[in-house]
Amino acid sequence: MRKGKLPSSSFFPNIILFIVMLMVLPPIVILFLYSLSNASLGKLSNISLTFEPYTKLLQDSTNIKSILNSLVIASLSALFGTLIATFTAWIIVKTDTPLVGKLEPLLLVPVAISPFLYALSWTTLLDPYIGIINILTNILIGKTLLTIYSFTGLILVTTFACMPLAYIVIKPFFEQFDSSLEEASIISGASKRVTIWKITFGLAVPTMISAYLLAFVWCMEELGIPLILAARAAIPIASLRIYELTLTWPPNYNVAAALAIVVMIINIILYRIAQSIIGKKQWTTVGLRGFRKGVMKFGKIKYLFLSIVLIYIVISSILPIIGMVPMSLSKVYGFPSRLEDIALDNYVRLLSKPLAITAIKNSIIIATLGSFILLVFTFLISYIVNRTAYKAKNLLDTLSMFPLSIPSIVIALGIFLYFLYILPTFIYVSIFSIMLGMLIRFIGHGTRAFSPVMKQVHQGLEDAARISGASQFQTIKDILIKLMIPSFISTYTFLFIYFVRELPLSILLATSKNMVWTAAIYSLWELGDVRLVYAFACMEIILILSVRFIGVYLSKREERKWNI
Amino acid sequence: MKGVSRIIWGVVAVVIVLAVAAAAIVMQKPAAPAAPAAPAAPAAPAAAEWHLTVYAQGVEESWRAILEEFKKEYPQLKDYTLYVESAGKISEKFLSEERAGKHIADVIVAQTIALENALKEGFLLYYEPPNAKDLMQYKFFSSYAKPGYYYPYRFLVQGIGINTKYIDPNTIKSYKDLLKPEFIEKWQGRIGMADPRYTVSIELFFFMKEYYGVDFWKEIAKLKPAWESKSTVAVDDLASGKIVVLIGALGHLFSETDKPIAFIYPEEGTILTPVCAAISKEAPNKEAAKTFVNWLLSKKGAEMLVKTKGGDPAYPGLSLPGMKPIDKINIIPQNYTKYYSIPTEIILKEWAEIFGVRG
Repeated sequence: MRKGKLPSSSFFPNIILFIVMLMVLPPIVILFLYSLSNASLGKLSNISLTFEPYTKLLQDSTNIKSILNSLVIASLSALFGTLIATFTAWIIVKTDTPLVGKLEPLLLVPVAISPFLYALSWTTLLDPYIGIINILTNILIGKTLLTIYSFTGLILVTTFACMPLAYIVIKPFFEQFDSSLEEASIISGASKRVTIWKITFGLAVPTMISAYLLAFVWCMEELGIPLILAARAAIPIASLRIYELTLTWPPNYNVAAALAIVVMIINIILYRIAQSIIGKKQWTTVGLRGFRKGVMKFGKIKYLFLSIVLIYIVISSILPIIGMVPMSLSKVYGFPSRLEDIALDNYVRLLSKPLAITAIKNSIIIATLGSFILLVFTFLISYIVNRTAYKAKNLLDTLSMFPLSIPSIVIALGIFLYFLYILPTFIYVSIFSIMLGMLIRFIGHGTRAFSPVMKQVHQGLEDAARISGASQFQTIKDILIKLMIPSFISTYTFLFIYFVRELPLSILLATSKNMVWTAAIYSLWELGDVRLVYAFACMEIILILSVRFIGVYLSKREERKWNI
Repeated sequence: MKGVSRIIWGVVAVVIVLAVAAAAIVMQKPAAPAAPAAPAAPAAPAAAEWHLTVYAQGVEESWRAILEEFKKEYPQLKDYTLYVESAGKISEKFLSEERAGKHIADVIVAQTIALENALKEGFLLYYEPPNAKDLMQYKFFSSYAKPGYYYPYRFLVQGIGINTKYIDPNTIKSYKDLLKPEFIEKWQGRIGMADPRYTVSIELFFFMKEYYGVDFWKEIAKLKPAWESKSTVAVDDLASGKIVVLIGALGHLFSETDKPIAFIYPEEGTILTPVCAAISKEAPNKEAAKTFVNWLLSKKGAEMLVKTKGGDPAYPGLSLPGMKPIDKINIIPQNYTKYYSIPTEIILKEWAEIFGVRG
């Protein structure tokens, strides 16, 4: 048994490992089989194994370029996103900067919009011909500011889109940060700057790595942004290439699966490297003596912080909303130029569509229930991985990471094929097949959100409770869960958002009966009426921000109860 | 002891996972044999209540309205499920389900390329709808039907789309007008074309090349078009002004719209791509499926298509508001037998070479 880890009966962890294996392995095995054969979709019997898909993959330089481009874009976007998220979360939680707490929901706007819509709204701003910003800069300085269909444009939009994901992971770290650590540093003679740099941000590094990894993997597999921005600029991106391979006629699922497996291996290697870095750090911030929240006072500099947050919000959230809301309210096609062109007609039209009503209802059921199930399940996984001496915990951790590390379009295909075989038809055609698919798809997202926070809470707190006679269950319930409530709320919100935004699996499984939100938006987008699409997207933003707002409110209420 | 228990648990887990996977593979039924060229299968006894599942290409809203209208006439239809997607997605879902032995779809309405694949694998039911008999006299209908298997319900008409804010509709009559130096100079970079890899414009590319020769496309390649991966979204890009001309635009998307766009039927001719209705061989509701396909091919079925602007109808004498009837359009000869005999990869390779596009 490793020092500091609770001894544990292996019965319960084995059950969890078994469920995870049952959820995760079959879709991956199916994908592996497709990547090693020329079998058609749905045909798994009598397949002969061959390396032909991998040979084809390597023969086409576009595939290699697409992997390299994805690596560059994902590395940079995730890096910028994580740095911005850390700095912003620190300003909001740990400084006395006014108003920023109230502005926080606006920071999350990019995550509340489906990525392809977020990218689409940026085209209304930075399209070289009709982008509002480019038209303005053409008038003012005689040239376009930036063509959004470019490498820079891709990195910019991907950074903005992944930043809230990193923020949701990092913010609970600062919320649970014991201020006495900073005070001790200052009392010991360290300056405020050194304290912030070495103590506050120093201790945040492992959480930042976790957040970076989550953002990186998301950027690697994200399709919506490259679909809108890279396709037109002919920039090969791995996720887009996979999409192209599955969409072209005849579709080449075998090469697509091979490319997805390569991306998965890259993600898993990086994940293991990150885990080994995190493992070497000492970073407990909620210790045995209790912890105290506190903010640092910054005098006039706090207004500089406020300005930075404001500028960021304007660029990443307000501008895209400007590209979206007027269109959603426009009675005429295009931007409304007169006041009488603005009305709620598109919203009325949208809500009169059975497609929209069914999608809203189903998505709320799936996201509410599915996020809760996954919250509990991934907490248990994180607990086993971080708090017990269970021997197969590394396997459990890696398995839960699998679905997260495969490009969404392909894991969706793997899950779809898996369900074809195991689910009875009445479940396959219901909303529960979509929910089950999402449980598999997002299992890694939940564990990744819990793990850093669980590492942050000192093991000694639970040891003390157990020495005092508490059972393992009581210790989890009364110590760990209560200390982690902000993280629970944050993770729930985060999962809820993912459930609402999921697209590739929904496209394969959703019919008029089990239609879900993003698939409905996609369906409307395919109809070609962008006004309805933007109206639906605005409603999605309102829903997600409301969930986040309720989450923040509950979190604060809980903290007040604990007086922390 | 604990170590042994863990090993046992691990082995049990792996065995169960493998057993599930193996069971899944074993449970898979072999593909149905090729459909007989025999007379129509005997009709199943009428079910008291129908539930119809339709996988269709087109507009979701239009399909819902069509099914609601059908429901009014056939109250036996208690409920329906719709899967409206592109031909590729319909084909992917339908073929995977059938191969896995999950028979869900009753009716499939999609481009012939999707239906041909289903037919090759023996997944389509042989059925001759009574309403199709009269329509077979009509050449636009009979040329695209595969009697007994699938029949055209609507057509995709491919031509040139323009943004009327930027382009005067009277200045474009033919593809040649796009090649005038002053036009290229002014609009290069804002000319879009539906991408043959993902859209039906592969047929436009193939049949125009067959009819006018490869030089026709070599000339068009000088426009350096931006590639649009979705025909519907391309129309939105056209309306917003991101592009001002769209080659391979689909006519029905231009009918009675408030967008500043217009559809041009080029002098060289247009390409018709049929979207046909077929019945799944293992349809869970065969009786409902047959009645529905027969109704779709009736005048009433076609009128609903027009009313809901779901596409250019294959039924003679009907057309979408503001659009030409099919029999008044100059159509390029389309030899589908030749088209299907050439692998898609070869056609796309030639396209990529002419336009200098990566594969």
